[in-house]
Amino acid sequence: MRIGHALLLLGPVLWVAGANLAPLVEMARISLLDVYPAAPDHVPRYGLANYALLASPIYRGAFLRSLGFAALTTLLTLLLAYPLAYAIAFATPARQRLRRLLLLIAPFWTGEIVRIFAIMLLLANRGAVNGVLRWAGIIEDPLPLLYNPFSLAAGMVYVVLLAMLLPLYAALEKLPRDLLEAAAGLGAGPWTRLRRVTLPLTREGIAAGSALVFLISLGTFAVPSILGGADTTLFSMTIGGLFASSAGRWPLGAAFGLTLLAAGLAIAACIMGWVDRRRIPTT
Amino acid sequence: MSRHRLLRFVYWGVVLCLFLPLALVALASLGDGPVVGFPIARPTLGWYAIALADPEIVRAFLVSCAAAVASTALALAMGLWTSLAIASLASPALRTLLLCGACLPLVTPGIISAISLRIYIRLLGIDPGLGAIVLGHAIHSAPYVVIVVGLRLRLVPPHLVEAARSLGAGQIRAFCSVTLPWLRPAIGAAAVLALLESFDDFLRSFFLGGYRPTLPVLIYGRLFSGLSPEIGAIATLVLALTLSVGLSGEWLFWRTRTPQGS
Repeated sequence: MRIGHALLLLGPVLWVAGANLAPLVEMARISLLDVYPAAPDHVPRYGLANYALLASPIYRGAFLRSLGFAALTTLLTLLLAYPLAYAIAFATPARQRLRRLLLLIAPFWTGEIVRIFAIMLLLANRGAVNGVLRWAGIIEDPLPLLYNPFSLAAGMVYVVLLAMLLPLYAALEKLPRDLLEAAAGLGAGPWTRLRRVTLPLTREGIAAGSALVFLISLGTFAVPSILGGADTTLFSMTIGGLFASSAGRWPLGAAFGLTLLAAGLAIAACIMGWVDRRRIPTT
Repeated sequence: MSRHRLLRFVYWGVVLCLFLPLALVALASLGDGPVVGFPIARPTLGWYAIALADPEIVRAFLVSCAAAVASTALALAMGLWTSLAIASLASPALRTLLLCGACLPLVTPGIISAISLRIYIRLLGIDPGLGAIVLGHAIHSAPYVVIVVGLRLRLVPPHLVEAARSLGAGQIRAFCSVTLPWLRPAIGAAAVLALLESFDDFLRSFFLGGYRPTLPVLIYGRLFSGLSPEIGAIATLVLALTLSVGLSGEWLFWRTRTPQGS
């Protein structure tokens, strides 16, 4: 019995340690190295020099821009997904809810790259939007919609929206409906009900969705590479660039990667912590 | 009630906005020139023939399929094993600890997951290529298996297992003839999820791949040299494939949430 149980645990523990944790630990080790790969006669020296390079203006700009775009994406998806989730949970007959939700999920089965291509077709100079506007006679020359902050934000939202929608829907679906009826019975109008009942009671869903979307947005590489412009280089692209060439620049890339991860997790933790702090008193 | 009408309007508006770009992909594949431009004057299906005759594309498709199948098998094995191990733990703290460790790849942002794996396979002595991609995709997909299978594992009726045990079945026999069949729809749904995650993945394939790109990596490269209808044709085929696979997976997943379906 004991041995059987130990065997049952052995595989997963090894997997978690060897496949989930070890890559991050090795990345942390590399990030402290002065030279990588080390020459045979070189004694590796560990230090924080790579992390200090973040202070240089080129890198700092991309780092802060990444945080900013991730925050913007989080806000946009929240504003878009909340009414959507609300519409399915409250303005749809119970029998149809699942089908309506599925219809929203379906576009997200397609890969990131196909969706980026789709956004390009929409926004390119000879794309659909410019085509319609020119056909309607509103514009003469195509609007520059692609390769700028606008197309980047549109692409980000199109890629990450689902990660916001599902936690929000899960939270809204659980909301006891009699509470809303009670609030209405006590004379609360729709806005008061939203502000005093619905939003506070779905705070956990809002926090979970926001933290998730923030982390995912920080990690997107293909979206900014393709849809962004010259002035929207994000930190993920900086990091990716350091890994594109030979291994020599990996320590710097690893240090930047860990910094991004730490910043993302810290902000995600703040978002989640905000839920705990503002829990409604039960009395 | 007008508020509800407004909400429904928002809903259908967003559905339209989500599907419209995908419809453009299909439309673009019919393009008549070497560069996609709307409106399309003389639609043609010729690009499908060109895309399917392109050995680079066919090979990338096969690489993607191989990676998807192999990584799904590995993710299913490790994910199933992990969810059983979690369920076997008596202490809730240990259970949470193992679950969090198993789900770590879910919260690792894409670029960091990709580069940490790139560093790690070098430590393991694995060259970039199909093997590295399979490992990377499996690591990424295993948490989904743990979650989907774990959901259903909690619904296993204990009296069924007890009945099997009291009828003389050993632990392994009881597992194979009661628990495993009960988990089958969840395993199916998790498999579909893992297949899609792998087939659609760009980041890990990009950083872990060798000379033979997967399909998303190939399309990524070609996106920089203009919007050709050929990309539209490949993307449309990929779209049709993933949508139908996804739909079947969703059907399985909702069955796993109902206690009756098995």
